[in-house]
Amino acid sequence: MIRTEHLTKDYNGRHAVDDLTMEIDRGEIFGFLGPNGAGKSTTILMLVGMIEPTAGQCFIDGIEVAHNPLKVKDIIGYLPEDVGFYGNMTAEQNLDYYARFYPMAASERSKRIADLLELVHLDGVTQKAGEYSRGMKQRLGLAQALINDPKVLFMDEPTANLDPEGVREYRDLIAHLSDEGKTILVSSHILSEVREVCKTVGLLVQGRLVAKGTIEDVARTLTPTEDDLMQIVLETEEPLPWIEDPAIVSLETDGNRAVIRATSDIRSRIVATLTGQGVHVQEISVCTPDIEDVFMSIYRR
Amino acid sequence: MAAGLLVVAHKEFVDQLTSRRFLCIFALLLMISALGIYGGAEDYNENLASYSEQLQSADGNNPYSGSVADKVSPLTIYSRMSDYIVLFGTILGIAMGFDLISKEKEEHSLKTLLARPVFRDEIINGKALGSVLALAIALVTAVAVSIAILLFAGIVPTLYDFGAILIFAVVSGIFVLVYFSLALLMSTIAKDSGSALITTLIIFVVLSSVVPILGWAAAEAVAGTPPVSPMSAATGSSSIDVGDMQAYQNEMQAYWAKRSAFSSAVNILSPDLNYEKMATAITDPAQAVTMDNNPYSFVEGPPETTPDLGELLGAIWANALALFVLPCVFFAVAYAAFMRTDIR
Repeated sequence: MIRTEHLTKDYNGRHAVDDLTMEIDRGEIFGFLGPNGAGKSTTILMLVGMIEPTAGQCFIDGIEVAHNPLKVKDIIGYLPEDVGFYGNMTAEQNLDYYARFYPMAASERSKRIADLLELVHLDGVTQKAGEYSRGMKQRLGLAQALINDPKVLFMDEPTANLDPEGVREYRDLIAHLSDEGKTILVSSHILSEVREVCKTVGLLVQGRLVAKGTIEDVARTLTPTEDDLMQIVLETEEPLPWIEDPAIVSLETDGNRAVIRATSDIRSRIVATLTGQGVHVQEISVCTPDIEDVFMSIYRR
Repeated sequence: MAAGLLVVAHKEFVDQLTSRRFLCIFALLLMISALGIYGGAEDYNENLASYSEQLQSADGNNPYSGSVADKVSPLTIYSRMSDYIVLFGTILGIAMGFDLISKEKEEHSLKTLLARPVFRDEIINGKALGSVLALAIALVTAVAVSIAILLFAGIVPTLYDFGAILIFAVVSGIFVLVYFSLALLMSTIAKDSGSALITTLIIFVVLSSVVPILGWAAAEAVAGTPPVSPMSAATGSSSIDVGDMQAYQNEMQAYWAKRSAFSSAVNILSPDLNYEKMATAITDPAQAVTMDNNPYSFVEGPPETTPDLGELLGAIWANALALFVLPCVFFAVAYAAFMRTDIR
């Protein structure tokens, strides 16, 4: 549904986005991760047809964006990071103005606006948008992004300014939209937020996509490994006997606890061996690095 | 015409007509010009009565009655209105345009708007179109009120007068557009609305006040030293030759003609002076064909007969062209700047 081919954007001779090639399938909730200034927002602006790439192409539902920005805008919704509205108009008036750019009949427009205002809990609010709190603006931002019932939704830092209740509602909304078959791209520098809602993620650093896949895949890809060895932690009820296996490279034991470094996942073999020796295994697990730590190390680079 | 343009234009039109800023300045313009027209109508009726008296005296073959003045025209009343438009029209134009784009950037609504299926040029064109329509309504209302006051005062304009009043309204509209388009340009390129307003005001002062002063000074420098009067050259009891005096008069006239032509050329850059010249051509055509800043023309006064259209156009074509071209240039630059605006 979303495809980029060698997408590049230069500002003052510097690559803001550098040779980005990726694909996001229909119905997927994709998290775009990366530190501030990594090129996430620039990529989204190219994908929504607001800026033209320096090189490369991007496609939404098979439509090349740079040459058909209006066709693309017809089928997408976009929530900018710093979403803004007309302060002299109510939420309904703001939405009505935006809705007029789409081929919608007045009755359809009216119903859609009412539904969306209810969805983001702004129905019955008579204040002008200029008097809104940042959280209310963010919720109205979600509503405007959905005004045309888009196939693809781009959300740049969507939970910024939302209170915990707002964040929970946002997560529910994303799940609901995903169930409707919409493709969603969420950009954020907050891993925990992306982790909550996204099935797959892409990590962008200095304009380059350094990893893509599930959070665990990306973390594993990015974890610094020593000779690609696997670390297995084992605890038993009885004192541990010496364990022998061709895959074991090193073994550190301390009473009934051991840390094994092996060339492959040999947990089932270890359990079988120990059980054969009458030793009861209390816990055995592969030690994975903390995902937050892995991403933080990338962010700090 | 693109649908997006109409959507933007409609919103802008409604925003302008419902904005307190627009309504306050428009109300002031309406009030002041109505008072001016009312005062002008009274003066007109007095002049007309005086003209009728002179006619009656002339009919009585009174040899001491003197010459009969030209019949006064109700159009002269509008010369007062042009003075108010120079002031309030400028304020109105600037007020309508200085935050048209910058406010969208400040409130971050531009990015939200550009997420719609709308071309960028439809946004700036729509904003300009909506504002121009609001301005047109304001001016048409002001002129309609002025005509109503004339009728109330018992002055019934002729068909020719109506045509001239219509042209006056169009020219006034173009004048206001000069400062509206300047403000729009500044709104597009300035960082914020405050900077846009200050820059617009500075340029307004330069165009309306500094340019005429510069024009006068530059014309003086270009024209060189004025010819010396034979009277000041004469010493003691020596008599002044009539031929020398005539030659001096001719040289002086040529000197002032050159100086006047140069200052007029510089003054083309001032929308205020161009508008005043155009307004004069409509309300008092004879006055419009006299040379500006020329004491000889001032002493001679306007021609006794009303100049024909060709003569009138010959005197004001440059002003008319400049008045029309300036808003086009300002808008074209604003358009180009908006199309290149970085919306990150």
